[in-house]
Amino acid sequence: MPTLETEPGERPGELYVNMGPQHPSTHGVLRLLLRLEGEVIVECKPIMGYLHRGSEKLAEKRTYPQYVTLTDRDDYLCAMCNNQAYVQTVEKLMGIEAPERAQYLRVIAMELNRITSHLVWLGTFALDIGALSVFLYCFREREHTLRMFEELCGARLTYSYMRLGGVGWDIPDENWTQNVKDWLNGSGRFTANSGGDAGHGGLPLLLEEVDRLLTGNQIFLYRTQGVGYLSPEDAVDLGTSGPMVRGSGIEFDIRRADPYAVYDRFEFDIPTRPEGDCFARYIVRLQEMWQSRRILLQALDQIPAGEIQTRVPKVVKPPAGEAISRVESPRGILGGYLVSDGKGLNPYRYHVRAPSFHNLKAMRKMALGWKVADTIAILGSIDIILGDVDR
Amino acid sequence: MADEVEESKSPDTEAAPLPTEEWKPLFGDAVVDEGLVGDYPRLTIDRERILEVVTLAKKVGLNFLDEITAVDLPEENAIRIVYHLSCIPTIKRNLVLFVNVPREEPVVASVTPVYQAADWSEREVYDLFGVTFDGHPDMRRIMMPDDWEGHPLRKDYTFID
Amino acid sequence: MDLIQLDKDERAPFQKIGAPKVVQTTIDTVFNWAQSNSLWPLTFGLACCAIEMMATSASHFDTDRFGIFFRATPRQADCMIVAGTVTKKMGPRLKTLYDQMTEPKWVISMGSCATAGGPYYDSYAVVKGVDRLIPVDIYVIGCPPRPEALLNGYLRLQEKIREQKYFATAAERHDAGTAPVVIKEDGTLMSDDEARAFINKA
Repeated sequence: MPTLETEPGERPGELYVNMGPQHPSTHGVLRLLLRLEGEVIVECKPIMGYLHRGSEKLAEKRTYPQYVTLTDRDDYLCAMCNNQAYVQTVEKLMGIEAPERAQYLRVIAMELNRITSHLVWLGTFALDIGALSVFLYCFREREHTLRMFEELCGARLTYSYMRLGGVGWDIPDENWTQNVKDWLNGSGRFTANSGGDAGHGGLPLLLEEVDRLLTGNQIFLYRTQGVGYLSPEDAVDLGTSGPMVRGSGIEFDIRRADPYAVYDRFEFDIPTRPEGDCFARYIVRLQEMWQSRRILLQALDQIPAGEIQTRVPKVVKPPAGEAISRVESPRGILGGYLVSDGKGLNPYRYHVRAPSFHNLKAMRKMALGWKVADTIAILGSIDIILGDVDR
Repeated sequence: MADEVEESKSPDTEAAPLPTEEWKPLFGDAVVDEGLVGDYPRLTIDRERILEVVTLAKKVGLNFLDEITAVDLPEENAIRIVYHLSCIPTIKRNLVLFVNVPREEPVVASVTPVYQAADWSEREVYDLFGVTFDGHPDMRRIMMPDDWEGHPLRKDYTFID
Repeated sequence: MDLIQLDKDERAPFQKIGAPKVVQTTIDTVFNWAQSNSLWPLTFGLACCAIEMMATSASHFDTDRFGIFFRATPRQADCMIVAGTVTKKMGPRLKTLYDQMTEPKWVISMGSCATAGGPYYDSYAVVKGVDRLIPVDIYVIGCPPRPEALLNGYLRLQEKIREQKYFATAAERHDAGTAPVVIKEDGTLMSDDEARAFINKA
C-alpha cells in the first residue's frame, strides 16, 4: 500500500489519500487511509500503532505501585481515570478498600479531570471545524483547572495521583476547595469582569459562551448535524461506549449502572441524545460538563475528614488470580484486566480496555459516503486519544 | 432491548445469583472449567466450541463484547484468550470466557461473525501474541509495523534495541 | 550621510538611530534576527507533550507573541518540535518529514520521551531519543515540560539562531560541535558540561 503517494484505485476517478500520521486534525499520530471517489469517501481504514509504546509489556517490568505512573500516559487527557482503573483493579484483587475521604478525593479528581478533558476536546473539535476562538477560550479556563491540579498533586497533565489503597496527597487547604467552588460557580476571583487573568466567569460562563458561539451557529450546524450517523445497534455491536452510545440514544453510564468509588452518593443526570450524529455527541459532552460540575459541587460539600490511604503492605503482592474493573472515562468504558501469579512483585499481565481503541472502530461505519472535510468532524466527535488507542 | 429475551434463563442481576451456575446449563459440555474473575463468572471453554458458545451468549442477551485479550502462560504451554462479554445497559451482567490454545498451534475461530467489535481486538491479539483467528476478514498486524518479526507480549520475546 | 557601524552582537541594531540613511551590518545579524523572531514550527505533537505544547501556544502562555506560528506542512516550517514518544513505527515517517523540511531548519526535542525514551526507556517499540534519527538543537526535558520550560526552549533556540552563521546548513551546524542546549524541568538552563554529560548518557 503506498504511503505517501496517491494512486488510482480500481475504478477511474478513485484515489488513495493518506491522512496522517502527521496531520493537524487527527489528534495525534493516526493514519487514515481513505479511498476517494472525487471527494466522497468510499473506504476508510484507520491504521494505528504509531504511538504503540508497549506499556502493557512494561507492566510486567514494573512493580505494582510503580506502574501507576505509566497508566497516566495511556489516556493522557484523563490521567486520573486511568489511575483509578488500575488501582481499582489491584484493590479488587487484593481485597482492600480505600478510606472514605480518599474515595471522595478520587471522585473530585476524576470529575475535574473529566471537565478538563472535555474542554480540550471542545477546543480541538471547534478548531477542526474552524472556530479558533473557542479553542482559546477553552484553554484559558483549562489553565485554571491545571493550576488547581498542580496545587493538589504537583503535576499539570500526568498526575500519578492515586495510590494503591488511597490517594497520594490531601487537599492543601480550604482555599483550594473554595477556589474550585468559585471556578465552578463563577464567583470569587472568577467573577466575570472582575479584572485580572481570572475574571472571565469560570466554568458556567464559558459553557454559556461556547453555547452561544457554536450551538446555534449555522456553519457549525451544517458541518455537524446529520453527519456521521451511528445507529444504537451498531454502537453497541461495535463495542463503542461513552458519549458514542449516549449520543445514539442509549442511556448508559458506568457511574450509574455499576457505581464505583462513592458515585452512588451523588445526584446527576446522564445526558442522552437520540440523533446519533456529530452534533448529538457534541451536545452530550457539553451536558456532561454541567453534570460533572454538579457532582463536584456535591462532593466538595460532602467530603468527610479522615485518612487518605489505608495500610498497604510495603511490598505489594496480590494473591494469585485475575480481576477486571471498569471506570467511566470521558471517552467511555476504561477497564483494567489484571493477572497476578501471587509470587512476583510485578503484575503477570495487565491489560487496559481502551475506550478510544474501540470507539475508533466506528469510524469506518460513520465515514462512508461522506466527504473528506466531514471526516475531520466525525473523527473529532469520536474524541480519540492516541495514547489510549495504541497504549 | 435485549433484556426481555429469555427471562426464565437469565434471572435478575440485581439479585446477584450464583454466577457460574447461571451459565453452565446453557453451554453444556463446552465448559471445561469454571471460576471467578474478581466477582464476574468465568468459564473455560473448549477451543472448538467457542463460536457456538459466543453465539448463544449473544442470543441470551450479552450484546456487548467488552474486550478480547490474551495472557501468555508458558508453564501450561498455552496462551489463554480472554473474552469479556457484557450487556449494555445492564452492565452488571458479565461473563468472562477463557480459551486455552496450545503454544505450538495457536489457532482459534474468530468471533467476528457474532460481534463486529471483535475485529480489532483479535488483530491486536494476533499482533502481540501470535494467535491466528480463523475466519477473520483482515488478519494482519495492527500495532507493530507490518514487517515486524516476533510477537512482543509473549514471555519469551527478546529484542535488540 | 551618516554611517552606523553595527557589531554582530547588537541585539537591537536599529534602536540607537539618529537619522541614518545607510546602516552597515552583517547579513548574519539581520537574517538571523528575522529568522529567530519568526520561527514556524511543524505541528508534530505525538503524545502527552503535544497537549502541553498546545497549552503553551494557547491562552496564558501565548507563543504567537514570539512570532511562533504552527504550520502543518513541513514545506513551510522551519522548526520541528518533536513532542512525545517516537516509536519505531513512527521513526521513518519522522525522518521523511525532517528531510522534507527546507533549510534552514532546527529541532527542539520536547519531553523525556523524545530526549531519551522517557518512562518507556526499556520498551521494545520506542526509539530511545529522537536524536538517534535526526540532529537536535534544543532538549527540553520534563514529563511533560511545563509551558515555561518550553518557552525557555524557544527563547534559547532564538538565541542559538542569532549566534549561528546564516549560510551554514543544518548538517554543518551540527558538525561544528557546539554544546547541546538542555532546559531543565523548572525552566533553567543546564551548563555546557552538564548538558554534554546528560546527552551522552541518554
